[in-house]
Order: sequence, then C-alpha cells, then structure tokens
Amino acid sequence: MVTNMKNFLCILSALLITVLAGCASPPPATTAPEGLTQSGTWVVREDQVMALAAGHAGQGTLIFEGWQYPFEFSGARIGVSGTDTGDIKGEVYNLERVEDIEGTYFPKAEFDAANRVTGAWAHNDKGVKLHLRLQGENMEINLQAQGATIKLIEQ
Amino acid sequence: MRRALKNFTAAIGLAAGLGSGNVASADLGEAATNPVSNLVQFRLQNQHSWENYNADSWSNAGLIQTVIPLPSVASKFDSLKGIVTRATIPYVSTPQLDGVGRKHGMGDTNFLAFAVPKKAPPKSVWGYGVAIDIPTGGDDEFTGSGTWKMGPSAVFMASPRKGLQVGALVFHQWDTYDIRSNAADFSTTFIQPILTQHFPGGWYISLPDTPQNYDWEEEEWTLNLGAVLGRVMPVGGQPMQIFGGVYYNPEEKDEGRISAEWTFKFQVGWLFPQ
Repeated sequence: MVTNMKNFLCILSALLITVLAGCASPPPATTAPEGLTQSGTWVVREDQVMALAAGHAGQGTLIFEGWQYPFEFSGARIGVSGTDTGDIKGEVYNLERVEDIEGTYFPKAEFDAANRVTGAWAHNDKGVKLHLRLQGENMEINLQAQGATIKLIEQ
Repeated sequence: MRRALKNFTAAIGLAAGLGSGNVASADLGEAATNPVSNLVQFRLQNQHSWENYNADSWSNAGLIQTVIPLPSVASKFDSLKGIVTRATIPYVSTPQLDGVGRKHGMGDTNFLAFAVPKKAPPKSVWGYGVAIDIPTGGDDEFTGSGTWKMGPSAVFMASPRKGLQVGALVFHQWDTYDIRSNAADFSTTFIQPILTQHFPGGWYISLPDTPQNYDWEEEEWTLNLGAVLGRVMPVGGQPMQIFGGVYYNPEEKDEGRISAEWTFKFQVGWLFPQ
C-alpha cells in the first residue's frame, strides 16, 4: 500500500510538472486586448468565404461555452484574391449571452507593414467585438466598410 | 509499474510534442470536455489496470467511443438545444480467477443519450436522458454482464469563468432483460464529477472521465480517484484531443471478484467541428 501511494504521488508529480510545462508554452497567437474578455471563437470555412466573396450570404460557426452555434453571415462585401485561400476565423469578446452575437458589424481593417490587410475588428450595438484573422498564407482580402450582419441559425 | 510509467511518459511526450498554441484550441477544448457538446467526436481509448484486487495479473480494456449529436431530431422539439449520444464499445482482457490464463472478448456496449434543453441557468448546460448497456459481451461472464441494463441519466455543467467547467454526470442502471441464466442482479449508480481547467495552448487538467459507481446489490463503491492531463490541438490540420490519466480505486471487492486497483487511461480523439 505504501509503495502504491509512492507510485501514485510520483505520477501525480509528473502530471503537475507537465501541466506547469504546458502553462509555460507559448500563449495563443492572439491575446485579448486590454479591457476585453474573450468569450469564444468563430470560423467561416473556405467554401463559405468564397460564397461571401461572390456576393452571397455565407455560414459560419461560433463556439461559445462549449457549444457550436451556426450563424448566417451576410453583407460583408469581402473580396478575396491570392493563390492560397482559406478559412476566416477569429475571436469573440464581451459576449455574455449567445443571442447578443446577432447584429450589424462595421469592420475596421488591420494592416501589416506591407499595408496588406491581415484581419479586422468589428463590433455591434450590444458591445460584442469580433476579431477576424485570415488563415490562407497568400490570401488577401478587400474589406469594404459595409454593415455585415450576423444572425444565428435556428438548430 | 515501471512499464506503466514508461507508457505514461511516452504519452505525455507525444502530447507535448504535437502542435503549438492554437487560438481555436481553447474553445474547441471546452467543447471537447463538455459531455453534452454538439461536437462530433471519435475516440480510441485504452484503459490498462496494472494492479488488480484478487488477481495477480493485469487487465485491459480497449474502447471505441463515438459522440454524435442529432440536430435533425432535436429540431423537432422547440424546447431543445440539441440531442447528444455517446456510445462506448469495449474489448476486454482480464485474468481468470484461478490465476491461470486470461479471458479476452467484447465487453458490454454502453449507450448514453441526452436531451439538452434551451432553457438553462446562465453559463451552464444541462441534459437528461437514458443510459443503456447492450450485452455485447454475450455469454462470456468474465467480459460481459449477460443482461440488458437501462436507467435514467442526467448531466449539469457550469462555466463560472472562462476555462473552468464544474458539474456532474449521473446515471443509474438496473438489469432489465437477462440473456444469460446466471446473470447477476444489477442496480448501480454512476457518478462522474466534472472539474476541468483549461489553459492556453489547448492544455487542460480534469478529474477522470470514468465514473465513480455504487453497487446497490453488493453495497460497495468502485472508485476512480485521480487526474487527467490532456490537450486539444490540430495535428496536420485535424483537430484532436489527447489525454492520459491515472486512477486509483481504494475499494477492494470481496474474494472471488476481480476489480482494478491502479489504472492508466490514454485517449486519442478526433474532433469534427462544424
């Protein structure tokens, strides 16, 4: 019994050390800006990005409190070019209730040193903020400051 | 013990070596550790008990587990957010009581289904449903119970702050239809406390995903005390969940009944987000 307890403590110590090592690993690529609390993440898959680019409504998925919520995304006016398109995904901040994700968003683009759009920030009238990141390595988008509407899809 | 520790170290090494911090991992991780998430999952698990009570040998269970939501069924009920099913199919190897030889074979298949209501307290999810054991272990009394088992199930989980999940999954089963004449009466309550803390990079630590259970016929507990360390991260673009955990059961069963004392559980799971 004493030997077993020693074994158990030994393994628990290994678990603890590994957890600490995990905590010390690089943080996520994007950290929450000061004053904002990350609530979830969202993604619009590549095929839906292309639908948006073609002027149609697209669908995305919000992951919030361990549940996936599909939503419709329209009016974004996204122009996509480049050799390697991909998903558009990002984080959601200040979302308390899932219904508050709905609304009209006005994107403000982020640029890199070469003045290429790398992403965007947008918020609705309920204070929910979306951060948008491009996934395709050679993907370029042209965001117009049109109102993009998000509406949850009834499951 | 040395071999088990070596396996454990190898598992952790694999988990640590794969992938890097991924922004989506934390939220996907919370979905993966939510027992009633609408996230499609396919899991391969191995549960190795290197020390058993009343047997001088090891036992092992290889498990295939599927988590499949049924949105088209749930959409027929206005009050429901979703319906989630979880099936666990085991293949068991256990020592024989005489200490000579082993028995291998299918164990009983466990099926849980939860209806998840839309109405829930803030930052929480709950569900209710059924727990069914299908006697796929057949006539083999070492690997199967020889009876259909059925009963109610319920789950409640709250996320008081981001990254922390607290709750419990509970179900009870009674024997309902014997397929073997000498199948024992069965009335057992299964309680799986939920306490999971997620960290940056998709890491998490949690209580065991194996329930504690109380056998009302024999009036005894079987406990799984321990911890699980896991990670959710993309591997070659495919979101995956990997975890390893060590469980200890201090409750020895009566002579003539084998039960696990020390168990190491390892999982590789594939996640299929929408």
